[in-house]
Amino acid sequence: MEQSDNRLLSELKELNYLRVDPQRREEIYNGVVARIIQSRKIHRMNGIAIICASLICVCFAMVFRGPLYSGVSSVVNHVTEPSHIRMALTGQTVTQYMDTPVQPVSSEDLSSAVRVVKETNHAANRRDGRTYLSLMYNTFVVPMSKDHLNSFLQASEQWKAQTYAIGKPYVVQNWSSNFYNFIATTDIVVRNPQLKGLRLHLTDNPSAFLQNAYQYRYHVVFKAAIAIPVTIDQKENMVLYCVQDDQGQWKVAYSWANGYDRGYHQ
Amino acid sequence: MHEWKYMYEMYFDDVYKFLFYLLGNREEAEDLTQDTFIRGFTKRGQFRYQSSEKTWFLAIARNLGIDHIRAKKRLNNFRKILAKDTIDSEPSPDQLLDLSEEKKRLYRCLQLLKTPYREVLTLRGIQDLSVKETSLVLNWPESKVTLTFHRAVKSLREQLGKEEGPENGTE
Repeated sequence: MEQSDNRLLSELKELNYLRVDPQRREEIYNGVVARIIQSRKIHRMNGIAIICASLICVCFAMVFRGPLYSGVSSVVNHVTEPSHIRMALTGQTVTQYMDTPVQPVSSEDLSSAVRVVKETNHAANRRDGRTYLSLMYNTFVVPMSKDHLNSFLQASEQWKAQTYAIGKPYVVQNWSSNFYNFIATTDIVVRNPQLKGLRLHLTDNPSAFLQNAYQYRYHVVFKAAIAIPVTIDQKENMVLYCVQDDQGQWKVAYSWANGYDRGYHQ
Repeated sequence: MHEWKYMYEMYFDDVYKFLFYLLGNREEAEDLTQDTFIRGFTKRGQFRYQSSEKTWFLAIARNLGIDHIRAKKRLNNFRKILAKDTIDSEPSPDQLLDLSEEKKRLYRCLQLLKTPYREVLTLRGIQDLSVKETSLVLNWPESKVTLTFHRAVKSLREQLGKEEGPENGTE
């Protein structure tokens, strides 16, 4: 049995002497090389095609970055801001970050609002010798609709206020019902339009708080510029706004969006 | 390129013969030999030196061969359903001109065995690979290689006996 196995195995080994035509062998090798070179060319072409497609995508994104970015921003705003106090913005740079709907402001409206601010500023200066409001660089002033104002007031009413006054403390109670003359606050200095936000600058208010506000990142400007929420260390939101009460007194008020430390600066 | 040529010359015979006995068709063996070297050269970076280059190329050839056999089986079944025609997958006589009558008989019987037997007989029996090398090519444990090889030899002998049977009977 073993002998027959061995014979069979030796016969099998003889099958190993299979002759291959040398020319055919060479042809096969040439085919191997040709196909590899061809596949590399195809890979290179694919690579070029991918690069071209990427460039087209980049160009497309650059062309449409405004709307895209605005879309992303609106989602962020939905998360960070209560919807009922979210209002549209205006301004060349700010429009990229604002929520919808965006209503373009006519130059007449803008100049009218600026004039009101200037006059108010002047009046405020006359009253107490301080400059609460000043227009520098880019200030965005938009007339506010009554609906927006009411919704804002409803939201504001829920905030408990605490005074940070220079002088005697003043606790605000039911103040919102008296404040109908909201107007643009202060300076908004565009430090870097590429940043996702601006910096708030209250130059003429000497309080430590407002000086510190210079460091805060501007978050969003509400329509009619009644309030300026700012983000501190990208965590907490503070809202600054300038209000005039029914006695005609102007106050720079602020609030923390997390519900603590609301107040105003008189 | 020079390295390719060197490797090609080194391992062509092994790859080609393995595929020829596995597939039983010269043209298919040539095609798959070409595919084997293309894959081997282009995937050279994946060679981890855990085995010899020879077993690496043979393993590629084996994988391609098995894929080809499966595809061919599916195609043949499909054709049978459509045309009810028999597919002649056996090599034509001119493909076996190099072999003597005795070897042709052995070759025919080899082709009648099932694929694992053919694989192990080709590697161990014809190409004289060690058990370890065969296990690397087939990705089998060495014990399985030994066992399958013995079964394959037995099966081949039985097949040869069947072929001899009618002739013996006439004598």
